[in-house]
Amino acid sequence: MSEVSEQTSATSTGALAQAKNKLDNLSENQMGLLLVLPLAVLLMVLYLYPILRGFVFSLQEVSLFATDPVWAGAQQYVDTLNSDRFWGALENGIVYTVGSVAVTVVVGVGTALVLNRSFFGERFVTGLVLSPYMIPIVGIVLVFRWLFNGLNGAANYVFIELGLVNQPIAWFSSSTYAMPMLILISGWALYPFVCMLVLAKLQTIPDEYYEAADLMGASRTRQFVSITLPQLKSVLFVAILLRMLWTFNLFDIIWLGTQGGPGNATETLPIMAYRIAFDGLRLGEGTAVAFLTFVVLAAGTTIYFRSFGEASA
Amino acid sequence: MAGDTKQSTSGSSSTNRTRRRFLEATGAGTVVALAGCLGGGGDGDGGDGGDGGGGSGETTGNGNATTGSSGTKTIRVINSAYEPVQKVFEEIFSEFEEQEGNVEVEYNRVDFADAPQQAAQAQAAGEPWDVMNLASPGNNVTAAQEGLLQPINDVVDDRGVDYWNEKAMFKLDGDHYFAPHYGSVIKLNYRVDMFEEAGAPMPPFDNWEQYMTAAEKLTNTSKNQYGHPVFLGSNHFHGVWPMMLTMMNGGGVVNPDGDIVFDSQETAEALQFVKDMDQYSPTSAHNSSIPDMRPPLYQGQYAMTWYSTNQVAADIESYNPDLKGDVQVTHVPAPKGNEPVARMTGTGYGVSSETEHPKVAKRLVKYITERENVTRMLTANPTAKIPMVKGVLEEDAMWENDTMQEYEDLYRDLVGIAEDYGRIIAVNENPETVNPITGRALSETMVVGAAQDAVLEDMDPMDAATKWADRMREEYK
Amino acid sequence: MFDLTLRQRHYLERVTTYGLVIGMTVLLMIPMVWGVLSSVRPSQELFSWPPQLIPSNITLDNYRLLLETTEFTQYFVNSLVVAVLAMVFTLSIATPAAYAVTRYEFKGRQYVTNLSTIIYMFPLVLLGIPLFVIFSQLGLTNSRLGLALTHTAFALPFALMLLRVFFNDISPAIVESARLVGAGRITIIRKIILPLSLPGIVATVIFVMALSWKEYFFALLLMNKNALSTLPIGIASLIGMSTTNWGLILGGVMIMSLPPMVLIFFLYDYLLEGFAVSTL
Repeated sequence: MSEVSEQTSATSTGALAQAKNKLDNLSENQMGLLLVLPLAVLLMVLYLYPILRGFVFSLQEVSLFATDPVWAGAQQYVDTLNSDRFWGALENGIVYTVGSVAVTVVVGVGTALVLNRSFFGERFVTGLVLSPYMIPIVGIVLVFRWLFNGLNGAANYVFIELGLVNQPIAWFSSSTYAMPMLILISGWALYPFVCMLVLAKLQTIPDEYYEAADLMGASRTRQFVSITLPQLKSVLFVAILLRMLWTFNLFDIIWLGTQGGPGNATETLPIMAYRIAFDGLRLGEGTAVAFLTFVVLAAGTTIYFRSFGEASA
Repeated sequence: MAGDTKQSTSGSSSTNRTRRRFLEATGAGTVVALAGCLGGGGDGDGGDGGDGGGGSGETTGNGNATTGSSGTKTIRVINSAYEPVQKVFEEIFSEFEEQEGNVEVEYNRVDFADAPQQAAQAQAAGEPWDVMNLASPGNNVTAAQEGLLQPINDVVDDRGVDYWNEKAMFKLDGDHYFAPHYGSVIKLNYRVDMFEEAGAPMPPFDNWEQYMTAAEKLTNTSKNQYGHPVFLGSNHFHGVWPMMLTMMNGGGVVNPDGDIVFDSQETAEALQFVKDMDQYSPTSAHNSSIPDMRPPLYQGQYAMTWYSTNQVAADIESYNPDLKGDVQVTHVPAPKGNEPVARMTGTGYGVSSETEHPKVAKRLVKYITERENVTRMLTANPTAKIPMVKGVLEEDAMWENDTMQEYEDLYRDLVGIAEDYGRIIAVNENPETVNPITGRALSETMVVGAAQDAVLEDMDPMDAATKWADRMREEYK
Repeated sequence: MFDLTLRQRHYLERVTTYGLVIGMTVLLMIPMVWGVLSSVRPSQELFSWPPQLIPSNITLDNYRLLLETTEFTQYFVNSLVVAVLAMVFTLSIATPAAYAVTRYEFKGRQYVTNLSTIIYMFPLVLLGIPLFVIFSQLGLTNSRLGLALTHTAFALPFALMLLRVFFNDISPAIVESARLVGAGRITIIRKIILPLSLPGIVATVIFVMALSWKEYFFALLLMNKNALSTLPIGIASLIGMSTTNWGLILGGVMIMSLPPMVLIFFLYDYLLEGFAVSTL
């Protein structure tokens, strides 16, 4: 804001200087728009058409091969909203998202706090602790499916030996355990996201705050609550928002883990949409489910912003 | 305390490092970007084929993208062949290119599950695959019905329908759309040694009582051993077994007139059988992944298991080489000594309805299904697939391979099952006319849904059958 | 407790730290260790019951096969090219944009960040076909540059949000005092804003690399030619081959996790740069 006046007052009256002046005067509103332009353009070019086209699909009864579409209007939306399957999937989605985000935030913040200390081998340990996020999902799910295989998994073996359970548990095939298992896998695969953000933010908290608190005799916990946490608010706001959006729309972990099974026990909205569109070859209906997911998330995000929005300012 | 964390840092050297880092990154990035653009990662030409008849109208016709300036015709082929066979395909396509002279074959192998989407998006973008095999019969048939493919009656008539296994040749609305090369048949693998040890009735089974008795005798939960897994994953492959049982019991999904008849007493009986067999299955089978259906057999945790592609040779090699000879195949039995049904795949190759080079495409399909070429494909992955072209077993080249020789008996048994009981699309009484509904992959998903309800939700089988029959009626109106 | 001498408190703190570090690492690395173990043992042992926790013999066969019989190195190079491009693009587009959103007032300023997250509200899987159509018409299919652009587009809203957090939290007082001393805009950016937000920038870089590195959906959508496949696609295609060699697949997965870890290792100092504002 004050940059404009500063520049104008510092320039001479030469023509070049005047042009430069104009460029600088161009600033604020236009400068801002200019800097934001590449981002906006790229996003719109790549996503606008697919979203609109997808919306059209959702209003048609059309097969995956997109031949002979039949206009259906809002009928597919109505039918979906009337189906039990939709509400079941919505519920599963909420359970999964809340569980997964909770685990990632707790583990992420915890590990960040530990990593923030200095100790021998900190680089190596940091790399290790952040590594699950770098592993392709297919590999992670594979390892967990083996470890927790109901028939010959090592986890069952260990649990039986330790006397925790009597019989092997079919983790991926049981409607009781499948969802917690997916939450576990997601938690493991995704906690480094939160960890890294928090760790980065922790670096920007000035030492002086802690030193002053020390001098005043505040305990570690008190310092954490009064200094660390408030500073983390803004980054946690972003981290939780993104994790919520990404987890609710998450497809690969659930698909590779349980395909939404057993039955529909772990079927979330994206899985349901995928199965309808690509297994059942009914693209229009599947896309309608996808757009309903969008509506749910848009509503959720609005609520989130209303409740916690100050943290992001 | 503060000194133990990483808050404090050094001073002025930081900005220098920052600047250097960004320069490095940008510089490196530019260099790599250039390298990337030059080194074979060039921009694909979006290419707009003309607006096709049945197309979705996405494209704006901009001339012939598939005929190069020197008159080279590009034929794009898509399939889901397994790895060793891919190489054979590549060789075959090279030979075809040489034979034709001005043809270039662009071959893309996709994952089984991704094939329909790949075909759909290519179609939508105006660059359809010229020759396609979308792997599962359901997908292939749906593609044909949705107008993605054109009839290839001339290809079939050229050789005569007898060139191929009769069970594999069918007409949709009076036309042939596919020319098959090889396929697979659903079979039951079992451990001979475990059967002998348990004193269980040996396959082939004459009826379902024997089937179940064997499963019972072979189940010993304290040893983590199960007689027969019941797979109930939410995918259409797992619907295959209950579907076969239903049909063998006289039920079915749809009758020749096109009416859904899934809610019948016969279906309910079959679902009841599935439910009963579940006591000899581990719970983990209920949501087993498809590759996971096999390894427990070789580790002694399953005494029997069913599958399509014959992986016995490869599996014994990977999981338990000591088992040579102890794993055999049989067909899934019929309930009362009547005619069994063994679901077969092997629909084969179709030609796109919007291809720019139909004649060349059809010649390619003919070349793919040449007897010698099919033999080459089969020997590349020995005993895995069975031929849909007649006379392949009489070719000497088939038996030159060690694995083929070792497993000759098993393989001949397998081919026998296909010849005697095989049904593509596990259809109705009239194999020459595909019933378009059973042909759809979706119907198998519905059947597994009914089985899931019967077993997992403990629903009464008749109720489950009715529920899903109603669902089918809704879907297929 | 509070009467411990400084030395004792220091000792206690060290013990707690190492205890936490070791405990955390061991617990979190169990699946990883299992993965590595499974990739160095013969495949017969993978499905046995009771499971053998210690491999009977360690073999690097799987890794050898991976490099010799599959196109692994090609996939690796492809992934690397795409990831680097995506990092460069994302940083160069998102940083100015974040700067603008935090330092300038312009129309629609408060909407840019929030609206860009709309992308994340769709299950993109379902938009596969129209996405393919538009990419095809833009000539982005079968091109590593094209794939990098899609990764960039996906990472941008996130990068924007993150950078904004870090730019925002630079106290205006510091910027003001710098300006009072006569520093121009560029100097301020170089000496104050960038160093202070460096951890955030580095975190963004690492994230974009990780996102791009393991990204599956767009890579599958855009690349038809097998020679252009990236690692996740390449590895996934090994599953379901006739001899499914799980050990080999896991070996590929393990190797695949290394480059991002290497990146973290090298950027570690910059990630933890912190509060260096002493250069004025």
